Amino acid sequence: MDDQQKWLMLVYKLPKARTSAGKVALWRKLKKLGVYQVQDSVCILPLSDKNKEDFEWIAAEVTEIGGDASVWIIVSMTPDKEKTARDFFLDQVNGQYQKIIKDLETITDQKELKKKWDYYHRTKRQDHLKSPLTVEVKAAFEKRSDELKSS
Amino acid sequence: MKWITWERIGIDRMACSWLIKKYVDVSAEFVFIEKGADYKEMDGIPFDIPGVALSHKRGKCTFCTILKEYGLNDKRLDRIAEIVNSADTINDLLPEPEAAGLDLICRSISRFLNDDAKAIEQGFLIFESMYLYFGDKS
Repeated sequence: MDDQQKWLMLVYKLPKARTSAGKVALWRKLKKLGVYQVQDSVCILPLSDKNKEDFEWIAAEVTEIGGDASVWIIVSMTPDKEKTARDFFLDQVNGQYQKIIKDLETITDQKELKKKWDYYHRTKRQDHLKSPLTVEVKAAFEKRSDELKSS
Repeated sequence: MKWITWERIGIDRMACSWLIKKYVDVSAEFVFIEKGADYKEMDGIPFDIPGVALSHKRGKCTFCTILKEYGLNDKRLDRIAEIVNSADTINDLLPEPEAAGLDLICRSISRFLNDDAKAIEQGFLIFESMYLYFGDKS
């Protein structure tokens, strides 16, 4: 079990009241973190210090708006479900990485390139399982940067 | 005065400790408690613990809350707050370019010293230097 992927699980119950700013803020944060929503009110992220802190603060915020939440460190007992989760995390960033590589071809100045580079780093925050595609993205940036310099 | 926070500090608590010591309470003494431990019976002011007055507010980091709460108006502190907030909270803003690097530095100092009291001393050096640097630059 030791070498099995460990996950963080956030289980939450929102207050019954109608949609509030607090609820919307929560959804946005979960989306931003790129969580895998296992079911309503249950989502997971691969275990890391940063993810743990983020989940702990979210749990605290849910409690603050009158809901209830807890954070768990878990391993999966169902390999196929674990694969689904893994694939979700990788597909999520790989799709964006591929789009970045494609977009790079049409970039014509350094300013745009810099903007794309910032966007790449924002995307990387959701790269919880460290996709191997980052090597290709970086290479594509370097290539395009050289091309722009010499043109 | 005693200031209570969770152990294994990161960027926000490091920055807050410096801020408290410099502007709020020069004789501040920091007490580190286990995550989730009961602080209510303890003598002191808790900070950066979920649910307390000096904590994350409206999605912003505790450093920002302390600035506001104690009315600290200083552009250099605002600049540090932007970086700390960017590193410590999940937000829609474009990340400050310094945030990821500073977060890594604080995180690794805390992890490898494995002693929160020593880690905040390093934090004092980091944040005081940054503060002076921003003053020179602007």
